[in-house]
Amino acid sequence: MSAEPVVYVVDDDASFRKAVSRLLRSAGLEVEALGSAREFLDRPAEDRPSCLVLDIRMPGPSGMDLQAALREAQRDIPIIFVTGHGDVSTGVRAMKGGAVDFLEKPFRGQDFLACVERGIARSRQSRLERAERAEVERRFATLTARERDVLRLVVTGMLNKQIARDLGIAEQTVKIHRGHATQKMHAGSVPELIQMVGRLGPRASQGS
Amino acid sequence: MRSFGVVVAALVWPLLAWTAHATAADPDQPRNVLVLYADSRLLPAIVEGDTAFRSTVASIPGVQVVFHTEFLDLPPTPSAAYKQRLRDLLRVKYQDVHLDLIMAFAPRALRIALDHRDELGPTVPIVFAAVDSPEDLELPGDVTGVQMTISAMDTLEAALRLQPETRRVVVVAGSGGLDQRWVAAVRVVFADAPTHLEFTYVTGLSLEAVATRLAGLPDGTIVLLVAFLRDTDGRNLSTPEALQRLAKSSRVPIYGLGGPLMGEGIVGGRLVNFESQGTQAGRLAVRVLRGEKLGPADIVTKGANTYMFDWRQLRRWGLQESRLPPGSVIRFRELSAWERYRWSIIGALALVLLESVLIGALMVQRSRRKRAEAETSMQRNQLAHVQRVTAVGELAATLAHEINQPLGAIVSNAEAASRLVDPAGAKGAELRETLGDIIDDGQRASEVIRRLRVMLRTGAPEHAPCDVNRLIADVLHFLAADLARAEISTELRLQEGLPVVRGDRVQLQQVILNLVLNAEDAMADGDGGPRRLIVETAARAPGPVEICVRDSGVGVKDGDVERIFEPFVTTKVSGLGMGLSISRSIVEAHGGTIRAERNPDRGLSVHVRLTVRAAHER
Repeated sequence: MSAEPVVYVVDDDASFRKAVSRLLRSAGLEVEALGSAREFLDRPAEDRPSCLVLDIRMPGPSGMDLQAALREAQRDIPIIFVTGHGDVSTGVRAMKGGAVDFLEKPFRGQDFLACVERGIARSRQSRLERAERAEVERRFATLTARERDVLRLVVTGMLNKQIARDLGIAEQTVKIHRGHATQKMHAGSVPELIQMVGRLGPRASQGS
Repeated sequence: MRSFGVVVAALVWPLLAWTAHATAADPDQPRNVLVLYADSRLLPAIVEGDTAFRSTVASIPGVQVVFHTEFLDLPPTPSAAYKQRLRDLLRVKYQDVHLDLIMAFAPRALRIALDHRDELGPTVPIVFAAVDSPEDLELPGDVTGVQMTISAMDTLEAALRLQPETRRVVVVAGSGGLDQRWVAAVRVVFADAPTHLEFTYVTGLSLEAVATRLAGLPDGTIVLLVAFLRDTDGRNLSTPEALQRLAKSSRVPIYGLGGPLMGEGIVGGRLVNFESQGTQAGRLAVRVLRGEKLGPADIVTKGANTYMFDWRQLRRWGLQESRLPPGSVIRFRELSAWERYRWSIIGALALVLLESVLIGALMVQRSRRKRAEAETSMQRNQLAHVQRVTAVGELAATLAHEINQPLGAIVSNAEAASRLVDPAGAKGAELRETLGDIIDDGQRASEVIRRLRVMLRTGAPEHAPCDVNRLIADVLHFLAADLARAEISTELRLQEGLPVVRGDRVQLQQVILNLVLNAEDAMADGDGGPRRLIVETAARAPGPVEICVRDSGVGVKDGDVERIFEPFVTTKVSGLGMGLSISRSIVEAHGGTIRAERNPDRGLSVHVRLTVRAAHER
């Protein structure tokens, strides 16, 4: 969680790569510069907040190709496109593909750094969400089958009495299961519990 | 004695019989035929009859006939001295000639022949023609011929059919012997004519007097010219000659009896046909020459007269052809231009029509060719224009990219430097200001480029439904001559029923054009290898259509395959390196992709994948 962010710069133009890296480092960011989309794809993914500054037009796979490849591989990394000449349709396609922004060279340092910050923030946020989801999933996994059944009905807003009738068990038993489940999920209230189960997605809430 | 006589007779008879037989049948012996005329040689009746007789006799196969002809042109009443001299002449002339046959034309000639048998050979058989009453002549047993009858009543009836309003009939004849004889015959015949008709006989006048009479005849009158061989002035004429004079002055139609009158001014009539007389006499002569014994019993009496009419006279007098007796012969018909030149006219019209059709067809072809040429040239202009515009646009885009790249580096470096400078340090403030100016100028330069690009931007592609196969066919049609010249065989593998692509027709055509031209250039370099161009289309997922242009040319190096779409990258000696770059711009603007691939054997394949633009943008 506390890992330092890294900014990848992928551009075939060496001097631009160098200049941008310098600019990013001047803002106190760690930078890794690469000459082609393929080089980026070939390196292993790092588990830290990151952001990709990507040139669109390059020999070999283009920036757009790389974006598509990453989406395919479900690698979630915010992308800031930079291009020597942007046309509207490419920009639109890039943004629809989930890019943070689309900048034309040369760009203002401030604008660029703001974009990068936004990218990193988005990366952090998604890492956080991923981590939280993983934690909820981990806790949910500790529940017994009966506790999960009870929990699923609780989050729909049913009363204990109704749940007991639905599951064909005593109301007292429902109370006990509910207490265990809440405890195991580390939930302070029913709304918190609902939020957690919501994060699990339909798979968990429907039952396996 | 008696037995001696019998013996002599028995000895001599076969000899005589043999001689006679030899004379009659020897094909090598020429046959002598005397043709006898009492009149002038140039009478039309004589010319017609003579010609027909000779040609009939001369046509006997294998027999040579020698004709001796006498045109005696006898006076009406020859003197005794004249007769004696004629007798002497004939004797001297024919005593050494063995005549086989005598043909006598007209009664007077027959009279001469009969009267001079001693001089001409007492046993020579005689055939006559144009004799009106042979029964009056007490003919010997070896005389035969063709009788001539005049059809006065038939002629009158034919005239009445044509002119039913007729009340008066004027019968005209000369004062010669034959003239008088014929008129007498006509009178007898007309005794049976319809009673409402009034007959007037004009004879014994001079020709001029008769002409004057005919000029004053009232309507409802017809003239029948019987014969006119002599007038009261003692002139010898021929009936046709007389007719010519009379026809000039007559107020009413003239009918006649003799064939030679036809064409000289008569309307017509049942006319004596002297040609037929000659022909029939000729046939009799042939039989006699072959040895047949013919006599008066064999005289031909019928069938030598013909209904004949002059078309010009019918017209002149306003008489209707439909009223003519059946079987009438119409002479001198003046055919209308159409009747006369029908086939020429039809031929000429057909020719004109054919020519018109040909001209029409040529004009249609010409206009079609012109239209096709205009279309091709328009297409060429359009493509050339787009090529120029896109080339400039591409150039501007490339320029922008190439310049923005270092500008981006400059500005970023300045930004970085500006951040690294300690503003509190010595000259730190000024250094920052300097870097700020660099950044601003960098931005300004970039702005200039951007404005240039906007100005030169290729127009946004039009969005119209395009049939990719059609575009390819158009471009290849356009380049067909070029490809043929470069000896490149072109193969089209176009998949039918491709989905319709939305895009700019001209721009997409330009892409295909660039790819084909590149392929052609790659093969034109010529290392003797095959020259095969394959253009293929197929419907492929995820895009609707893929176009593949495959050549068998020199190809490119492996590393160049990815670079060739960059601007100013070319593998050609004289290339600008814009074609593929432009093609990529166009394809990408259409939401498609373009890539090149080296063929396993040789050459390059360029794949263009066009996607449905709408799926990306809307």
